[in-house]
Amino acid sequence: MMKKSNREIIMLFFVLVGGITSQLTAQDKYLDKNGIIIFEASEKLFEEVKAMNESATVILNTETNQIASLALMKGFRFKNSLMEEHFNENYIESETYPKATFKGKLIDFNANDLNEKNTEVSVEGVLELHGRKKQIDTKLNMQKIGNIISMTGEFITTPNDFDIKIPKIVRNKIAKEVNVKFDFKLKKK
Amino acid sequence: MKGKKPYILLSIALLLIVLSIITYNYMYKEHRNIATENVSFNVSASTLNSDLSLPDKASKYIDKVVQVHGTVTAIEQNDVVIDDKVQVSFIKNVTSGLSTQKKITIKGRCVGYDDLLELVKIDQATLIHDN
Repeated sequence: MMKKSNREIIMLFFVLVGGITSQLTAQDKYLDKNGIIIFEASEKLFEEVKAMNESATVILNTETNQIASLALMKGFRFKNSLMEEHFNENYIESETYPKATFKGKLIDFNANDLNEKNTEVSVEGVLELHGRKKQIDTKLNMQKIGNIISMTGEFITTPNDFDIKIPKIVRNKIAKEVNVKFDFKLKKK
Repeated sequence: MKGKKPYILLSIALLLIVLSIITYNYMYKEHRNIATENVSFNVSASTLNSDLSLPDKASKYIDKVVQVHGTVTAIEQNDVVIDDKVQVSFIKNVTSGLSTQKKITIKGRCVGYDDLLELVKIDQATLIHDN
């Protein structure tokens, strides 16, 4: 009799602890499955070189301030289908390198300080695509409305950073610098 | 001899026009229409997910038109998640007529595997049926 109730107490304890910890971890995560990433490398007078991905994944852990993002290369859509084909086959080689990832950390950030006003937050991390890595440090504009954290920003990178070769015949039609913009709406998980 | 000159000029002009049309059509060809393309694979959401998680098996699905069935587990704007395994983005807004627990079949382009969420992503999808 004694043994049984002991066991029940122990089990109850584990259920409670388990419940509390899972709730804690669940509360600390914000998620966006439909993050928008746009990159543009257009040159004046030439056709725009621009693509958009509307299903990037972003996870923000507001306890550790760690952020992770993933975009599938095949998810980038161009206005011009031939450009999309060349992007996948010749430049980004999406069959070999299907995704781009960013893993980083928000600096001096406290999620509790966020409100409806725009707050500038620094982020530092590593962008990996085409099998190469590059340190990216930039600023984010963040605000919180209800349970949603909005995060927008941009940075500049180059094809060279990721060892992406641009053939001579199109070199003057593609900008040396690529502007990357993103717009994430993260919901509490 | 002199009478032939206009014809030569005319045929050169025609040839140039035809060439430029061909070049234009090549450079500005239409995007694929996933909704009317034939289905390459017809699988359940969980089969697609487990296959996509293995790089060897994944490559045969990428960029192909897949038909997927399962139960709706989440709805978000114009997206649904099937069996917590496959995230589907529709071309047209159809999510208003859907609810969780509903069984659906969709057709779309397999974009790839998101290993952060362990989720397959499908875009340009159309609803085949729901019941």
